[in-house]
Amino acid sequence: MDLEEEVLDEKSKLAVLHFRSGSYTKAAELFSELVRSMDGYSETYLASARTRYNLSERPIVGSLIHPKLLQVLDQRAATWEKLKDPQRAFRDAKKMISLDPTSCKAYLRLGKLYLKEGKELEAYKTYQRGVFTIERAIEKLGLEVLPKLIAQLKEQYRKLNRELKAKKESSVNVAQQIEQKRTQQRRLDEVIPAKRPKKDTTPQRNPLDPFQILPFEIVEHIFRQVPGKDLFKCHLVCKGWYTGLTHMPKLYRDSFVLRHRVNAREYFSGLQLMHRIEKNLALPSLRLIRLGATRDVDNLGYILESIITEKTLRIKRLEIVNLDMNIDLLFQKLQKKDFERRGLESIESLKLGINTSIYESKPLLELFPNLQRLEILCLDCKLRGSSYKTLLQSKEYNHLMYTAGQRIESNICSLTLVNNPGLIEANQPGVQVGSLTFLASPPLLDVRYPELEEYTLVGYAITPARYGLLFSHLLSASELLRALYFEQVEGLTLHDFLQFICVAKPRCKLKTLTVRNATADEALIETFNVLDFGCLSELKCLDIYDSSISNKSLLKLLELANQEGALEHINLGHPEKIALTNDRRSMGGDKLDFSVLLQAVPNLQSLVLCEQDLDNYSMRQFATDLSRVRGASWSLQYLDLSFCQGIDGVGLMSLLGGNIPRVKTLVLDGLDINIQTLNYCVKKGLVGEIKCDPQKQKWIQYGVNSRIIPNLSKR
Amino acid sequence: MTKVIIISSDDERFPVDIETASKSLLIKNMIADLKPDLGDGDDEDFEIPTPNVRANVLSKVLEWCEHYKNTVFSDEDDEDARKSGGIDSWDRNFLKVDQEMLYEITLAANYLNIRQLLDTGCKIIAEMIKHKSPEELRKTFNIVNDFSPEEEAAIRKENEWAEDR
Repeated sequence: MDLEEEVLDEKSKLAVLHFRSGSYTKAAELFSELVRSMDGYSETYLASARTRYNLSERPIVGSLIHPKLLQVLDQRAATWEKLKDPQRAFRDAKKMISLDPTSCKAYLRLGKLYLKEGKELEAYKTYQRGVFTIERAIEKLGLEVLPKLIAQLKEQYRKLNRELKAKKESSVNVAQQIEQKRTQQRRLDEVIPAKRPKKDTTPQRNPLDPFQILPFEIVEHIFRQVPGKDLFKCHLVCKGWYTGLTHMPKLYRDSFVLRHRVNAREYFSGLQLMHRIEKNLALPSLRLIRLGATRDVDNLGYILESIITEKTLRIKRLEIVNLDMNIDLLFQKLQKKDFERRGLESIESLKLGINTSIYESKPLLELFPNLQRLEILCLDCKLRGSSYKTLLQSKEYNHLMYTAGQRIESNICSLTLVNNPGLIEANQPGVQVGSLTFLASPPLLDVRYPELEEYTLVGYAITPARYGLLFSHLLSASELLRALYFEQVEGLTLHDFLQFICVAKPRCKLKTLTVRNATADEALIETFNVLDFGCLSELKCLDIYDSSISNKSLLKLLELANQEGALEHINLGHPEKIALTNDRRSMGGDKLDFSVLLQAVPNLQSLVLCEQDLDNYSMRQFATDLSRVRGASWSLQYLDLSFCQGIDGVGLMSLLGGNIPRVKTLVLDGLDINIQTLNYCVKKGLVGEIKCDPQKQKWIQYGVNSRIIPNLSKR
Repeated sequence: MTKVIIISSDDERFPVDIETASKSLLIKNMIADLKPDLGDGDDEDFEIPTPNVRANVLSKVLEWCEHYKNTVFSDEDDEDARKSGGIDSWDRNFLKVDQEMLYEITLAANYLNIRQLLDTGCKIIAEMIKHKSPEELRKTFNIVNDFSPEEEAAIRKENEWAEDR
C-alpha cells in the first residue's frame, strides 16, 4: 500500500518535472498512466488511501476516488492546454466536476478553458455554479474547503461579472464586437468603406434588434431556421446584420444553390462571398454546390473550371444537372487545367445530370477519390461530340483511363444510375437514330463495392445471360447493401432477379426492395426455396409496381420476402394479373382474397393498391377481412387507392365505417369522390388525412414516386 | 411536499415542484450535485437564485415548465431533426408576447438550459424573419437602413447568383 502510493508519488513528481521543462507530450503520457492506475483501484484500497491522507473513508460529496485523482486530472488538463488540445482539456475538467462537484479547482479549470475559447458566458456560468454549489455544501453539509481556493473562485466570478456588465452597458452589440475584432478583414470588396462607429456617438441599444440584444449563439440558432433565399435578403437590412450574418459560417453550409440560368460572373461573386464567410475557419468548406441551368455552355465551362481548380474551399457535395453538361466536357476542362484537380478531391457526393449516355464512367472514380455517393442522370440522349478525340492525345488522359481500367474496387456506398428512356420504347437500344444515341448497358458493374448500401438502376436494358453474373457479383460483394431499386430495366424479370439471389446467396440483409415494370415467369418462381433467400429475411418494404406476377406467384414471393414477418410496406400497384376480390370476381374465378394477402403479411402498415381493378365491393370485403384478421380495431398507417376507378364515396364509407380512426394517410388521387364525403371522414376522425388530386393523370410522378426521367428529346 | 424556490434577479421567490424546476437542466444539475436526496422525505426547501432573470420573465418561464412538467422530450441531438419540427399550438399561443419579452424568455431559456423552450423561442423569432423583404424586416425590427445606395447595390450584386427570388 505505502509502496504503491510512493510509486504514484514519484511518477507524479516526474510528470510535473516534464511539464515544467516543456516536454508536454511526455508529461501527458505520465499523467494518463497515473489516471489509469488511480481509476483501477478497489473501493477498499481507495478508502484506506484516503485514511493515509488523513481523510474520512468516504467523501461527503461526490464519488469515492483516489485523493490525488483530481489533482492529476487538473494537471493533465493543463498539459492538454499546452498541447493545444482543448477538447481533451475540457473532458478532464468536466470529469473533475462530475467526480467531485465541490472541487474549486475543477470550476477554476473549466472556467479558464471557456475563457480561452472566448466563451465568456459559459465561463461565467461555470464560476457561478461552482460558487453556488460549494457555498451550499459548506453551509449545509459542513464541507471543508481551502479558504484560498474558494476565495480565488469567487474573485474570478466577480471579476467576470463586472466585465460582462461593463460590456453590456457600453452597449457593444454582437455585430459591433465582431466588427471590432475583425476590422482588418471587414471589407465588402472595397465598396463599403471601413467605418467604425465613433465612441461618442455610440447609438442607443435597439431593444427590437436581435443582433443587439441576444448573444451570438442564439442569433445564430435563430438564423439557422431561416432558409437560404431569405438569408440573403437579410444581408440588405443594415450593416450590423450584414457583418453579423457573414460571420456565422454555419448558416451558409448548404446555401450555395445557384439560380436558374446563372452566369459565370454571378457565380464568381457568390464564390467570393463564400470564401469570405469561410475564411476564418480551420477547414473552410462548402457542403454543397448545386448548379442547374447556366446561361449557356460557355458559362457552364467557366464555372466547371473554377470548381475543378478550387484550392481553398473543400467541396463536399457537388450537383450539376445541366443540359449542356456531359463527361467529355468535364474532361475537356480538366485538360485545359493540365489535370490539376484539387477541387474534386474532397467531393464525397456527386450528382451529375448529363445530356448523353454515359460513355466513360470508371474514370470518374479516379477523378473523385473520396466519392461515397454517386448519382448520374442521363437527361438526354445526344450523340457524343468529337471533343474526346483530342483528349486521346493527352498523356494524363490516357494515364487516367489506364488506372481506371485497372480499378477493381470502390468505396462508394450509394450508387444511382438513371438512363434516359429515349430509345427504349423504340426497342432499339444501342442504335443510333439521327443525332441521338442510347447506350443501354448499365455501366460500373465491373467494380466491387464492399461499402455499398444503396443501388439504383433505372431505364437500362440488360440480357440476363450476360448481366446475371455481374449482378450476382454485386450482390455477394456488397455485404452492407440494404436498398435495391430497379425501375424500367428492360430484360430484368422477377424470376431472373430471384435467380441472381439464388446464385449469389448474398450475406447482406435488404431492407427495401423495388423491382418495377418486371415480368414474371410463373413456373420458375414456384420452384424457389425459402432457404436461399436469407438476404430478404429483414425486408421491410417491397415494391413490385407494374408487375406481371400472378396471384399464386405473388403469394410465393411474399413467402420468400417475409420469412420473419418484418415486411410492413408493399406496393402492388398497376398489376397485370393480380386479381383482388371485386364485384365481378365475387361469383368465382381466380381471385385473391384480402384475408389471404393480410395473413401473408401480418405486420402490414402501409399498402399501395393504385391502378387496380377494385370497386366498392372490394372495399367492403377489405374492411371485413381486416376486422377478421386484425380484430375490430384494425388500422393502417398508409393506404393508396389512387386510380382504382371502381371506388366512390360508398366504397370509401364501407371501408372506413365505424367510429375509430382507421387510416392515418389515405391517398385517393384521380378518384371522383365528393369533397364533402372526404371532409366528413376527416372531421369524424375516421382518417388522419386524405390526399386527393382528381386532376392527376397517372400515379407515376418523376422525382416523387418514380425515377424515370420524362422524355426530353420529344419536347 | 418539498419545493424548489427559484429567486429572480429582483428577489421575488417562486416555489415550484421538483419536476417543474427540473425542466431546466441547470437547476436539475444543481439539485443532482447538491441534494440528490431532495424530495425523499426531506422537508427542507431548496433555494436557487437566478441572478439574471427578472421576475415577470421567470414567472413566464416557470409557467412553461409547469405545462410541460410531465412531458418527456426526446433527446434529439440531431440538429436537422430539431430544426424541422413545427411549433406546438400551445407554445405559439404562450409566446404571443411582445418582441422584447420574447427575447428575454429566449435568453432565460438559454441561461437556464431549457432546450425545448429555447428552440421554440428561436423558431418564433425566425418566423418573424422568413419571407420578408429587407424593408419589411427593418420595419419589424425597428432598424434604420445605414447603407448608402452604392453599398446596397453592391450587396444586391453579390447575391445575384442565389436562388430565384
